[in-house]
Amino acid sequence: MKVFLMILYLTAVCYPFTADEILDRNEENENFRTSVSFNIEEVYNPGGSLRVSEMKAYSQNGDEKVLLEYIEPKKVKGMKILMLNNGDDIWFYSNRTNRVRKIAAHQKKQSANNSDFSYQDMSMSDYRKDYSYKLEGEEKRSGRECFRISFSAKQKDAVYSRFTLWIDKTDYYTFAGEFFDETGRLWKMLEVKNVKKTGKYWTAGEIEMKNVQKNSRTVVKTKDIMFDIELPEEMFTERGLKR
Amino acid sequence: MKRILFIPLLIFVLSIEAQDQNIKLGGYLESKMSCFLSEDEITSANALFRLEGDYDIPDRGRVEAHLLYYFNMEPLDPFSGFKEGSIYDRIIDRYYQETIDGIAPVLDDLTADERELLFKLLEIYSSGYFDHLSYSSFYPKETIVMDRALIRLYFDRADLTFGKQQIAWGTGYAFNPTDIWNIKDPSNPDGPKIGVLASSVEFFYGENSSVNIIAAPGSDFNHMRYGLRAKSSIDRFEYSFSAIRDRSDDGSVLDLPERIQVGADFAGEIINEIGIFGEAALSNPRYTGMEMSDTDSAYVQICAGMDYTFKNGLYLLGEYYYNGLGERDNDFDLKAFTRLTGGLMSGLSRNYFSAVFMYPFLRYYKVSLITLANLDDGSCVTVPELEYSFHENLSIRINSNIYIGSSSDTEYGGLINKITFNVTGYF
Repeated sequence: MKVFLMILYLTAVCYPFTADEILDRNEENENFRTSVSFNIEEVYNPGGSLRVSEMKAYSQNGDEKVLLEYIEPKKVKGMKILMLNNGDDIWFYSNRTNRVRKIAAHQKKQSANNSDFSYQDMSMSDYRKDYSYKLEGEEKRSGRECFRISFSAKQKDAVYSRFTLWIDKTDYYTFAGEFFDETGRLWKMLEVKNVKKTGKYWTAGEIEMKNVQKNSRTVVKTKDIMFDIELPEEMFTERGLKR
Repeated sequence: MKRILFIPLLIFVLSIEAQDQNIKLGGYLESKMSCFLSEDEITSANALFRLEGDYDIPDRGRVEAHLLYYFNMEPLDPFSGFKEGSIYDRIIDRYYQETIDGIAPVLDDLTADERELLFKLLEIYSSGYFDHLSYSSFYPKETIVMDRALIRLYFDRADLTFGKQQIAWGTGYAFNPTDIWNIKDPSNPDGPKIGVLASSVEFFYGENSSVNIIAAPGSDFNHMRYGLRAKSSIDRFEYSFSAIRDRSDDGSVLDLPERIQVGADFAGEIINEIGIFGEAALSNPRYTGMEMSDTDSAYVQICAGMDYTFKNGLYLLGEYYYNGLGERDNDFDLKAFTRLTGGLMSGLSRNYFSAVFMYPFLRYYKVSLITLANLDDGSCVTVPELEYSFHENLSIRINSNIYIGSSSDTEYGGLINKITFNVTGYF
């Protein structure tokens, strides 16, 4: 979800100079109290076929607590995913079995609903804890001035051996990313498009994750988003999952 | 008659969805064909239509009605799935022999009409017996079942649920010894389970802690089932404790004893992100006409397992099951069979191991292999399966049940291999 919603909200004024300061500023973009968004996920396969999912996302305290509910396709309609503690703890609810199950850490690396995002991509909040990082400089990407920060995995079993983020120099949102597999080959490319201001916050209209090894891509389009509306606290509990 | 009611009901619920956005409808249609790999070359075909209707009353409650309509074309002989001379064959023979022996002395004294009535009653009793099997495939040709029919009321700290509902206790994959409510078929752990008629109250505290109290009705107070489960979590582990008083009308039909059961379960992860889970249940049965049994008849059922997903997507799961109610010497009889079908245990013997291998490839394909082995008699059932997601809402599966072991004296060796082709469409 972080990759969906890490998407950029900003009130910046001056240029920070260290990687930590830039990342702090990047995270400050998510200081909204709550958000509710309606998203469409399009998965483009190498053969040219397209599969579409629709989901509703609720979040609280930035992305500390996130609840995802699938609306389409019918096969997974009503399925919910609850992420707490910035994605450290993930619960999965199936309405057909009425069973709530905590997803073990090993499952977080898997594709979420056959997309190019993994569960870990959706809750990638611990990247400062799990990766060492440094500011590599500033460069222009797709016409935007960006900071380039590179990350290297501290542990061997991390999903990505290394990755690079391009953070917009003016608004401090994540503008693009490149992710590498354990052998060091380029695996996925992230791109954020159609950024616009919704109320006090900047939001991305589209987030694209391209799997360059499989030649597939997934585009998440945010169709409707609201910030700082009242959400019941219990929405982000096991009880909320069953409702 | 059922069809006459079913179709207008379907049209009615479909027409009301458009009028109220709080009403959600969905479901699926599953069609499958099985071919038994025996000399008789028997086939069976089944269609299942599931209609799920949910009505949300925001912040106040919820109404759910899920309806299952089965249409089955099964072999005329419901025992076609067993090999001749297998333990199942012998159990059924013994059952009929005992029944005939029981009525033989009185047959001579009956008139022709009375005999006809008696045989009709036996037939009804017999079909009733199979209706009570927890996961039997011997459904009547057409069946309509309400899988879920419940009303849920939301209060500040608790939810109250009345009606037919899914109650999901326990953390095991193939085995759930702490769950007496919705019985699983261990060779098809992800298969559908019919809801249970009950009243349930669940009190919530903290983020993910709750206490659940359940009462399932019976023909009288003596045939009610009660359960209590307290659930919480610590660090990366979830755990619960439960207590059950089990005595039901179904149990009476199958001549199963009343029992008190206490249990506990957990799920979490250990080093290297390996998932672990387990359940333990201690049961103390009371047999008809006897006081609560002494500790000799108490038994323990335990399951414990681990799972892991590799980076390439390969998923592995292993689960051990100890069944303290199982037969020690593989001398299976009707009593063991009824305990199995009545849901008191998940196998006839004492020690079992289940393994699952699952590997998704080319995005929309998945191969899996589920193996369930009886460690005492050395027999096992292996279910290899290929699944293809033809469309977001259409999937095609082909699988095979392969039974290995001696056909005359093992649990799984006496069953006939089969191949099943399955298509499911969701709406």
